Amino acid sequence: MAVLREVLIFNLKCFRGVRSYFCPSPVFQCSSLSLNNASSNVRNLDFEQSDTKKISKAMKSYMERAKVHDNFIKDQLHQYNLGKRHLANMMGKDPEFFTQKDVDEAIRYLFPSGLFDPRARPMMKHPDEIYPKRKAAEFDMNGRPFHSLFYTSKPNYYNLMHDLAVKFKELDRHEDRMISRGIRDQKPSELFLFGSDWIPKEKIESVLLEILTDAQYSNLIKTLERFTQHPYAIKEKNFVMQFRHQLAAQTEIQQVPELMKDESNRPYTTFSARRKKSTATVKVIGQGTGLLSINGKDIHYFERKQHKEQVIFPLEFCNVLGKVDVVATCEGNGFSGKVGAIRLGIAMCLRSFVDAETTERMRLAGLLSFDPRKRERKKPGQAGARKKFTWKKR
Amino acid sequence: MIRYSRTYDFFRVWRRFSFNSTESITNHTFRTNECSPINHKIDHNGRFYSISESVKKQLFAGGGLPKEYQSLSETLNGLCIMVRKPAIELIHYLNKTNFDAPVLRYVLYGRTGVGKSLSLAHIIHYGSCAGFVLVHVPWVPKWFQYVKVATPSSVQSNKYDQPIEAVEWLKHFSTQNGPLLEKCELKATTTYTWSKREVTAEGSPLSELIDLGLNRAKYATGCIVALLDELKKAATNKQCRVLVVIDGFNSFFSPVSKVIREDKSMVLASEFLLTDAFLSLTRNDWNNGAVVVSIDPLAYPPELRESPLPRYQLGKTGFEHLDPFVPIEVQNYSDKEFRSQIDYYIERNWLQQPKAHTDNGRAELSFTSGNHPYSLMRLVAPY
Amino acid sequence: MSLSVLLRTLPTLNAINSQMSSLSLLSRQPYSMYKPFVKEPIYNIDKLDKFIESGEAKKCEFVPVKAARNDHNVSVFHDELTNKFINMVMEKGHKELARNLVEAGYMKIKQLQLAKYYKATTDIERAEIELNPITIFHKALDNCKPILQLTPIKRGGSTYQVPIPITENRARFLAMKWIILESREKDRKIHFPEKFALELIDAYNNTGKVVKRKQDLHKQCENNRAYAHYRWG
Repeated sequence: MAVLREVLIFNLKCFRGVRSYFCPSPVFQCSSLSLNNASSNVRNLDFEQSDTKKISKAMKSYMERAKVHDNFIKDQLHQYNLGKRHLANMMGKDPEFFTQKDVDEAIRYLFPSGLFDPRARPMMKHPDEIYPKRKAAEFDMNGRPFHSLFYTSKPNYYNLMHDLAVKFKELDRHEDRMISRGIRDQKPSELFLFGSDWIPKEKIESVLLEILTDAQYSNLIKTLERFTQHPYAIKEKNFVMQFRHQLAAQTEIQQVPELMKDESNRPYTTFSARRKKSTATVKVIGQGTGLLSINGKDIHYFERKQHKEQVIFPLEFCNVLGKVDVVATCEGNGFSGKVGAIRLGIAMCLRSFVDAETTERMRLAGLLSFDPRKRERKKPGQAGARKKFTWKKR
Repeated sequence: MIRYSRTYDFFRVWRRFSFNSTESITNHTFRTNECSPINHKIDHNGRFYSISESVKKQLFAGGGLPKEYQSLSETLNGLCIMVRKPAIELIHYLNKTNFDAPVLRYVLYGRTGVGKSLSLAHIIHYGSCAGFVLVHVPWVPKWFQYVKVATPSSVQSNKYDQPIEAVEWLKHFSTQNGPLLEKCELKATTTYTWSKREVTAEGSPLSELIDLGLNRAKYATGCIVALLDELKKAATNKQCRVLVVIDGFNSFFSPVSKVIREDKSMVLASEFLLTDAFLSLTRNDWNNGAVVVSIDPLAYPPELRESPLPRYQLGKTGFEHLDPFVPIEVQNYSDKEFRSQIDYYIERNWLQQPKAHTDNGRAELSFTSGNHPYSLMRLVAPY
Repeated sequence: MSLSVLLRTLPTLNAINSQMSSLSLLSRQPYSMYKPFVKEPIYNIDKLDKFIESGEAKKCEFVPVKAARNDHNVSVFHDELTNKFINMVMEKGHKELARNLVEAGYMKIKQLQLAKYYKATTDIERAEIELNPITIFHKALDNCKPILQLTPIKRGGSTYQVPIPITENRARFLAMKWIILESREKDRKIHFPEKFALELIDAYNNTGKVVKRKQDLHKQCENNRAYAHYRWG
């Protein structure tokens, strides 16, 4: 009983004192921890309970559910480990050192699948990855909730909002103090937000262990946005950064290939690009005179003005018209696709010839981005991709 | 049986565009005040010279300038032609020719739209200034593509006449050479009997022959045969110098035709009397003259346009017919020519976008048009 | 309310508004191939310079950018408004045809204006003749843009035509639509480019059918101004 009480108190503390919401996340850890503790205690309790105090019905059914879940997970884990050993034997590897990566490879090899969506393909993962985490008990033996916000049905979420409000007030008070000391005109510092973005709804949900509506998520983000506008928000940098994730820098664009030299000692680079169903291989050679060859022909390979303009777009944008030679080969359906691929190829090659600033300008102009748009498939039961058959009810 | 697609017609119109033009008053670098083609030398390369309205009317009223180019020249208030390398080369040759030797054949060739027709126009102007009798066919395929009436010949029973085309050509010939013919006083050397009543007697002036053709369409084709024959003889007798200029010459050797008999077989170009007449003029069995022809992929059926080279475009018969000849290639604009063309457009207020006047703008135009004269004209036209 | 809150209220609200509008997470396009946060490209060199100078570009360093579209370029002849117009002339995706028609119209404008230009005898007369077709197009379009339009509003069982102010986009759309409709209404022997050129030159001089159509609309709005208050409430 003493053990149980300790656990409960611990739970209580956790809920009251939540300050950090993310990895290493006390909420997360304490919930999983308390879950384990709780379920292990449930087993212990079974002996003692018959003669001790009454347990509320809610607690009782919770403990039953926890036990079933616990057993289920245990069973799944056992099966996973067994399956892993089988796989290791089939693949002729040592079962002791068979990692998840090896499992994935083995599955891919033994059950080849042509399904498009990766999630639809066969897989074998650790049960922890497949079955969602559950909340620990939120009430005591008598069925009284620990958390004051329990009846909001989303205590963690509202607790977080509450914390935000408290912090906001603290910052206000701090600002007042500064003003009374004569320090004003503190500009909002957004700098620490640079290069990061708010984490998506799914991630917040998995951490709070609560399902949020879109409106709730948007409220949270709005509040956080306003919080970061505060002149002294920098004081709470660590707190705010828990809700942001670093954006991937445009690394592919920044990794500029080095120039190579051809037989006549002229610098060149090559790039293979795609657009729609076309592919193009482009070679841009420096110290040129503006020669252009597309599949062995000159610019008149393309008949339409729009396509000719597309070919010169990156060249003119970087001001290298007449300074480099371009040799391109392209294949695939349609001239729009071909010219799109060639344009991307030329732009990508030109990165090696121009400075970083121009590269960034090209990126902002959309010259270095792959165009993912494609013809949309026709749907069954419809006249086209979106168009419906004419239909009258009567 | 091959029918030409609409594209063919489109290209036919298209090809007649090559580029260059202006009017000369000022002394800009892209212009030259030397308006007589006889004096054009390599120094004038890439410069525009102007052709006066009266000369234009005399020489090109019946064709000879690409249609689009003509309308552009009207918009720009005066016909100007750029002096380009092929024309200079030809003029140089013609100035140095020994006219006692058999005639030399010159063949202009090159891709569609590079300026062959305008080079020929330049040569026609030269011929007119230098006192040649001009035998000019503005566009041969016209005779075999849109034949309105083809009748069995009144002269040779196995051949066909084209009365409408023949009258048209005679009119063109007489406007081009009217004053000169009177001056040379050319006379018929034999008696031509067209019918019981209509006879062209020996010793009557050639203008009578022409008038007869103009009035009696039935005998127009026969008149042309006779006229060309007389010209050949007159030239050989040193009575006059003859300059033969034929645009789209390879059409005479085209393996397909648009003219169809009742049994649906094609009437090839070789079965027309006009073909015989002009092919006879392009043989080197006479002297005191010159033959300049141009060959163009557009004068050939669409499936035979892979290469603009003479051997491909003329076929075996055509090549052997002309052999030996002097080939002259017409190419895209050189940098100098391109610059002067743009300067001309700017001066004539045709190129309106200020951005296009800059070096960067010119570089773009050069790149997008590939320095191809017709493409450049089309590119610049709307802006 | 504390002092700091008072001090901050206005700018903060503005900041939030601007922040929220850029928070693309909330306004997601349903069928786009791009993720909602991907930025639109700025291909125009002048606009890009301004964008970089304003410091906005620094913030976009980590934001991916959409690929420039097929009809974007930095050509000396490129004009966004013309591009828009070409798209409106276009039928069934035949863009090259639409472009050829509009450009033929531009050529016709130049021909007509140049004829006047060379006919004029004095320099003053010549200076007054506008030759640039794009300038003519822009000004003609401005002359054709309405500032009011009528919208049916139901009040007390009957519908009233109520004059309301018009947005910039809608005004431009109407002007372009009217020009196209007017250019297509013609004899069979006249081609679209010719009629289009004539209409543009008329509109440039603030005359012609399209300008009249705009004035008619304004007149109607004027007649119905008694209903203007139905716009509210």
